[in-house]
Amino acid sequence: MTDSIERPTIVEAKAITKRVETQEGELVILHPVDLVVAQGESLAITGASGSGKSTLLGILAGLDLPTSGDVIINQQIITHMDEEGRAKVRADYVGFIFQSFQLLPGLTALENVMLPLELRGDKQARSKAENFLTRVGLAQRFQHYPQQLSGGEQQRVAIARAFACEPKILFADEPTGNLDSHTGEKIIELLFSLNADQGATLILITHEERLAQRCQRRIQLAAGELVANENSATNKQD
Amino acid sequence: MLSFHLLKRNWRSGELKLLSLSIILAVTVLAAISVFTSRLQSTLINESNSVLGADAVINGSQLHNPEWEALAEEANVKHTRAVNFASMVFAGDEMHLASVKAVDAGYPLRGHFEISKQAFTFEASAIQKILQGPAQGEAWVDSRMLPLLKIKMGDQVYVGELPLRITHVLIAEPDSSSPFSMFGARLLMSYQDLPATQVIQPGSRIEYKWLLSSDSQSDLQNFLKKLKPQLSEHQAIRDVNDSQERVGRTLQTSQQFLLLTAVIAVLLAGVAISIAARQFSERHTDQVALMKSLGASAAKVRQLYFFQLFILAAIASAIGLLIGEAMQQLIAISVQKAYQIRLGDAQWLAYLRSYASGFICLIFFALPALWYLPSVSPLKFCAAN
Ligand SMILES: Nc1ncnc2c1ncn2[C@@H]1O[C@H](COP(=O)(O)OP(=O)(O)OP(=O)(O)O)[C@@H](O)[C@H]1O
Ligand SMILES: [Mg+2]
Repeated sequence: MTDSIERPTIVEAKAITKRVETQEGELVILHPVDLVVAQGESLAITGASGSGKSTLLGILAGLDLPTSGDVIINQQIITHMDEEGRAKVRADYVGFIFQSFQLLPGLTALENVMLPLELRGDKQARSKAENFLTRVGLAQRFQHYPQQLSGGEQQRVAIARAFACEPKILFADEPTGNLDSHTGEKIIELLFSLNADQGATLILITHEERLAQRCQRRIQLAAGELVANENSATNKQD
Repeated sequence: MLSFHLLKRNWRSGELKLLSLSIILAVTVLAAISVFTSRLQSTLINESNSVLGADAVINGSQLHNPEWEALAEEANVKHTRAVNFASMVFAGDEMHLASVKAVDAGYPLRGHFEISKQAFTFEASAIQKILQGPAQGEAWVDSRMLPLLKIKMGDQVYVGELPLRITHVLIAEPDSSSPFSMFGARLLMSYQDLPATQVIQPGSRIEYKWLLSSDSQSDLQNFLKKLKPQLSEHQAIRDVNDSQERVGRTLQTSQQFLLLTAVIAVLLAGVAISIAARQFSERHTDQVALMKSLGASAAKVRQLYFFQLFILAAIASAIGLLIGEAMQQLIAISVQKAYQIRLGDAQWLAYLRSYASGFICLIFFALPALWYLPSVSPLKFCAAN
């Protein structure tokens, strides 16, 4: 069932390219890529190492600028904005989950989750953070520092941090890449169940077939070009 | 306030300890030195102003010419008299060869006396500043005269034939120099009481002083010019400029030395601050990149870090100021004991300057390392590495 067409577009890429100057001359990382992601959709980006997945995700999320082309998030052309404007869009719509968790080592689990809420001046930062940490099963670990937590637990903190701001779009770059397959599976479950609750748009990079199959759609990159754009055979399970 | 929370968290993780310690060190050293220097300065300036008790003094072994007084008044020059001599002072069976000074109304023309009801005190609260000498029938003495004569405050002593009541001890006086001061403790009395003592006989060794001052220095200089040809060989003019120059030179040398010490200390603290700031900046690159990917703008990051450092500097400088003040007081106590002087008060500007130096050090030594922190780019996905 391809219901994505009826839903409003949340992220759109129009002929984005990325080229960088290197000592050996110009390197094309992304050939013109077009992409439309509907609100509430889950999208997996796959492809070989070095194919440009992270670069594409960074541009879609407004962390990086394309060499040409436009990115539109929630009807705002972020490629026309300055850095301050893009920061505002990130604050309003976007959440991230990184492969390497990216928790601040000096902050407790609770403070790590509170940080983005505090940054946008949320008065209920603490209670929201406590709520989300409890939902990812870390109710007993509020005051623990990242180095006191296992990899899986750290990624749960990162997931709690991403969901606590209730973003419209969640970007994840190999969220299970640093975890063993058993832990990875639990993290995937958590990710999709929280996403089902919030109805966020999920755009993630993965090498894992298992994770890619959980997404409604998958695209494949090869050497900076979009080579496949198909709906997943197995639709989202409940 | 988020900055405050972040500061608390950063403090807890130990990243700020070196930075705050080096600010505290810089402020401590600067406060101790500049406050102490300021006290020294106020002491010396007080003393140089009152070193003569006047703008100019005619010294001599003869009474001055009464005609000159009329001339002085004509020339808009104020004047008064003082007499120095050595005399036995008696109290019961005890006696002491004191260095007596008798002062006329209006003395001193510049400066003031410091007196106290309490012998041997350095406590500011017990000390009274006063612009005139003792009343008739009263005497002020050096604290040490009390034990020498086995008397106490309020007792009587005899100067020659005249009984005088001791109402105060003398802590400081203008023009403390006297050719007789080596003889013993000071006794200060009224010029009007002098005849009744009957100690001054023709041929006594006496130093007369005629003190002059004027609101207009040119009036005074003109008057002195007129006076000069009339002076006998036993009379000499002493000018406040002579003594101020001497005091000024001493002050400058000591100030330069102390400030050099301060500069070296602050530079060392500055090196520590810049090392700490670089370390801080390196450790926070990730934090800033993350905050930016979480939606914080460069302006927001700048504001967050600015307030953190501002609060840090405010607290660290306050601590430094307190420690510096304590150190300065310790130094002052030992200096006062060793040299038997009473240091004046520091200017509040010295405190303000030391407090501000914490911020200035931070700006000069830490800002270069921290300047680019807000422009760190948001965290990129780096799964490949
Ligand atoms: N700033 C840059 N300068 C030079 N080359 C770059 C730059 N950014 C990316 N690349 C190159 O572009 C290609 C794509 O990088 P990217 O990180 O997007 O790949 P990826 O698909 O995420 O790979 P992986 O699966 O290993 O994470 C790589 O060959 C990389 O070395
Ligand atoms: Mg990648």
